[in-house]
Amino acid sequence: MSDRRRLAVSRREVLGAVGTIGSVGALSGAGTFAYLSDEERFENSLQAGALDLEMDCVGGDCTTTGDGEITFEFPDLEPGDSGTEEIVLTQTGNPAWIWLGSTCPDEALERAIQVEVTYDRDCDGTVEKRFDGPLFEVLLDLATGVKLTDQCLLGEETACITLDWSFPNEPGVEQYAGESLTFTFQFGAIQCRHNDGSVRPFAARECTVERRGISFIEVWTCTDAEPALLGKVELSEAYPSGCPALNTAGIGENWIEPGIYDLPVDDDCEDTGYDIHVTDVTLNPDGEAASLAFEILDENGDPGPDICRVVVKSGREELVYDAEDLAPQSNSTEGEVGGAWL
Amino acid sequence: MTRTYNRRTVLAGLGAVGAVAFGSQAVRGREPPYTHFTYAQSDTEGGRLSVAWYETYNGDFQEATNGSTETNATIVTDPDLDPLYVPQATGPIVTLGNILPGDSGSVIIGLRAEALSDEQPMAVWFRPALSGNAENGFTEPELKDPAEDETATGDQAGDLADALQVDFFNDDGIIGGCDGQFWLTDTRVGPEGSMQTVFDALSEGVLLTDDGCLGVGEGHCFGFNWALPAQTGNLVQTDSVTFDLAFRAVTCESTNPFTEAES
Repeated sequence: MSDRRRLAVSRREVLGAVGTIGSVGALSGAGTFAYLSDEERFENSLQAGALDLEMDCVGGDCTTTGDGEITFEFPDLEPGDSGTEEIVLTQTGNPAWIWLGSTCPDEALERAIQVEVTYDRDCDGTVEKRFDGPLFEVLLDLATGVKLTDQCLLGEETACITLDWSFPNEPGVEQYAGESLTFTFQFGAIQCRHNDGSVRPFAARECTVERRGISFIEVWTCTDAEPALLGKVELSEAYPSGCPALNTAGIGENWIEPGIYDLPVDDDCEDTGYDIHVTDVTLNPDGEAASLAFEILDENGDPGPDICRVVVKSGREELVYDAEDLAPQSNSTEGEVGGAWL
Repeated sequence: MTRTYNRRTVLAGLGAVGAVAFGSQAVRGREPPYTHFTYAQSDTEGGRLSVAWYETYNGDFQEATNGSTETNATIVTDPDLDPLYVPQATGPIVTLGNILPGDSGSVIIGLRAEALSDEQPMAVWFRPALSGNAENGFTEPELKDPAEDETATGDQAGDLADALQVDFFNDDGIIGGCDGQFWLTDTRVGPEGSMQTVFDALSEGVLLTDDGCLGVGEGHCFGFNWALPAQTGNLVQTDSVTFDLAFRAVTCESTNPFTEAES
């Protein structure tokens, strides 16, 4: 500290000596400021990063559109057709989660098309299967948006998405021959930093799926010359709750399980006195009753009247089975009635 | 805090003409009074202000005074703990080239009066200045943002100065002083808001030591926080800002040196 003290003394002497000079300077130098001062200036810069996902479509039937969308168009499909489309993603800038979304399923044909979607990080041939099944189901899953992998795609990395599709030649698909198919995939990239992967890069689509299970069954008899309606069972939530006096346990919306039920006259809960014994039910992939077999019993459980017509509402269609389609001179259907194919 | 009316009167009477001329020469030979104190010639004349700083980025230590590896913010800047002060930053403090929505950072700046004489108190004024707000081109997602103006050009055409949220405060409260966080006992300097808004509001400079000047050897902690909100979106992709934070120490009775310098 001796240095410091010595310095202080000398400073004081200096300042005392110059005092007069300084005063004069300050008075004469009007408009100039020369206070003791020091400035510390910190220079800084901040720059935001980039994140950009590019897509290329490899294959004849897909095209990239704006906003990360890829539209697939398959014209004039015939049973037995198949193909492969490939999408190459290139990520620029910061690491990103890659999400895949799609348009909602909206065509019956989509149920007949089988697809498999695979993901290949780096496009090096190491393929992970991500989705497979009927296109209808895959689109339903994708419409809300799904994160493609649990790993972030890094800047300058590529990934390949492959869509393999086929139109298997199965019974019932003839009705779709010659139809064309269009659907859209949507890709989105969202930063990984501060994001555990739960934030969506695009809004989830909510799809309204058309019911295609059975919604009612009409049973007709031919005791007279002309067919006459014997009774009608509604497969709806409203029927069991609206008709508590009837035996309806096992009936739901587009759904019924094998068992014996009261056969109402119509929608008004009036019992015919007969029972409908559902012997077999086939569910579709949505868990709905697609087709069923039944017989009619009387109040004692013995065979009821012969049936000569059955009307089943399956999806949007009313399927009518006449005597020649049913077991001859019988109180039961011959096999299941309902959805044409599933 | 040291208050010596005689000395102040003398110096005020002097103006700075003599003091500056002799002062810089005299101080050159002075030994650092603290072991962690580095002294060097300042590039401005007259009194001296030495600095210490501590930077965090997304909550993690980023950099401290001229490359110091001390990761405890309070040790770096709290005057009671003999921090390392340097007379000047040797380079930019905050230099981040890849910030993303959700990012945030803070800088605690420790200031200490190193007066020309051993008893000269100093007033410290602060002025932030935005020197650039650049667009740096467009990415495809950026162009799809409806708020993006493709026709804007020049070094003020960017969107980051409006997107960044900043605040300045005297980090000297009884609770959590020199810790880089704003507590109730700290005092805000200027408004909170976007960098553009806050920097505009403080463009003429503001007195930091409004509750008393710094005596020689006295320190003061100042905080700067910034955040790029998570909901910012693609508008700011690759945009950049450059900005200065200037601290000017003047004699205690001086008026605003920033406005005077420009008058």
